[in-house]
Amino acid sequence: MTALAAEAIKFRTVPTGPRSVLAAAVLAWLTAALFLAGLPVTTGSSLAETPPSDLVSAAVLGIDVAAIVLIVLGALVGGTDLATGLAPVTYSLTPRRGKVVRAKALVVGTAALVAGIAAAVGCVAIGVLAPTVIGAAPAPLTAEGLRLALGALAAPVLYGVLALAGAMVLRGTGGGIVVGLGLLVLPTVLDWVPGLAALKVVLPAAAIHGLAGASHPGDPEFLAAAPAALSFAGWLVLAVAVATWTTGRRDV
Amino acid sequence: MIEAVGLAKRYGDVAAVADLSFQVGPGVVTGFLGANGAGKSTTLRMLLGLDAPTAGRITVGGMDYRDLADPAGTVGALLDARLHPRRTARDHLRWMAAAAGLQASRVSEVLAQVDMTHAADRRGSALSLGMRQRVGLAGALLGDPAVLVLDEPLNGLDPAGIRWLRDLLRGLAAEGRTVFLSSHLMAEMEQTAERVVVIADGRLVAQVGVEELRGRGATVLVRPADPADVDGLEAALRSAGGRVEASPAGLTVAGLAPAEVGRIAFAAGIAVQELAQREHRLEESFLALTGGAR
Repeated sequence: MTALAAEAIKFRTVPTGPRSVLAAAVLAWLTAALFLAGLPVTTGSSLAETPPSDLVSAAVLGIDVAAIVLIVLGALVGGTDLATGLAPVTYSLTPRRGKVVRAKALVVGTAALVAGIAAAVGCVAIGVLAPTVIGAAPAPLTAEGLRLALGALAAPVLYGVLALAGAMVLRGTGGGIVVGLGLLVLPTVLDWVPGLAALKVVLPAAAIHGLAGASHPGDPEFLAAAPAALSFAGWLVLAVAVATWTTGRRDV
Repeated sequence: MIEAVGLAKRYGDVAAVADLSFQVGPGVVTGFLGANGAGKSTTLRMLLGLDAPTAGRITVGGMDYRDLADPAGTVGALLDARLHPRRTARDHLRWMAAAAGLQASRVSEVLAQVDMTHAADRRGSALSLGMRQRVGLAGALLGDPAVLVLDEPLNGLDPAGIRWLRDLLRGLAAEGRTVFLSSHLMAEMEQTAERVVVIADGRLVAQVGVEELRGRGATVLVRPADPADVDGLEAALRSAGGRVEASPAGLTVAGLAPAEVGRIAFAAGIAVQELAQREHRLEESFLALTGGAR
């Protein structure tokens, strides 16, 4: 608990942390509004004619932007101790380095969850209320749309923690950003390479899409909700375990 | 009590510390002397469990640092006066206190102890090096530890700050704490420490009291009454094992006590006009001991 309290204070007492959480939510809302504004152009249908589930799913894409902000934040949390020369202080106060890694992961995960919830609530509201801009009735929020939003919450949490672990393993903020963004775009890259699309099912994106119900049976990355939850948890545990192992083995 | 036994650290082909053994006891300020790159910081990092020794051990109260039940309450450390540039001194100490499992109220106490209350809410980027040293020292004192380990704590302090730190460290040692500090500022170390551990090229050179170290480097200046006797006296002193250097002022003799020099001159039938002991500064003794090695 002491390491967690220390990391929480570290996070709160540098403006970058809280501001990034706010920025993630605001950017998600702006992106959702932008997607919906462009929808009539890209689909050829007005907002009133677009199915409600499509409005919400388009708006929820804004949460991906929150995930990108959380990748940067996670990498910053993982790399700042080294960049500012505070790693010796951190690890001399908490010699069991795994505690520090777990505390940082909890702080990033919590910040990501807060940002994700704010982003999701805003994005869903934007999707539901979009038709009112042109005088139509609000789009009803379906169970499918709600699951999409709730599942999408997992993205900032998972990618934020992956970026944190990447920064700790590679000993730098830049490394964390590369790891986070790399895993985010890897499914697209695998689509380009013949025969590799089958690997998408083990990637973090498959877990998130499975939780959100955004993938369907027959898709190379399809996972049902329960396996998706297991994959999500597995990636989190793997990220923390690898960061703990490498941080514990080497000199600070 | 800090104890190093056969401590070694290699970085590839480079031996930063080699077969280093020493003890640092409570109740006195012990200086850790060595040129830049001698292995002082590496040794302190191994003491704090930050770097793993290649061989040997360094313990606090017989335990590896990582095995201490209450690290911050046992050892207070200042390795580098760093703060996050955007975090205030008070917040810096707040997270340190939280990591050590201490009440936040302790932060105000140590800020007052290092005379930094007035600048506690300044960000790290707005603090001078001397102020950061004081904040770092406050961090080391947070857990009211029995052992203090300070790496170059005098850097950046003005003369008043150095005097303040000297008095503080002596006071802490007088309370029965173990105070171990490294510094390359020999003149200040001379006035602050009572004992020293001297290393060069990662190896122990001496572990002595400051007075003894100064004495080891002491020389005797002797001048015959008749300048024609200089060569004869020099030969007599050399044959007795003295290391002699001739200069217009006379003969400077190392390795022989003043009384011994006087007896040798008397035995050789040489009248002496001047015989005086020249006590070396710690810096000269250090250089004589290490031979200019790193």
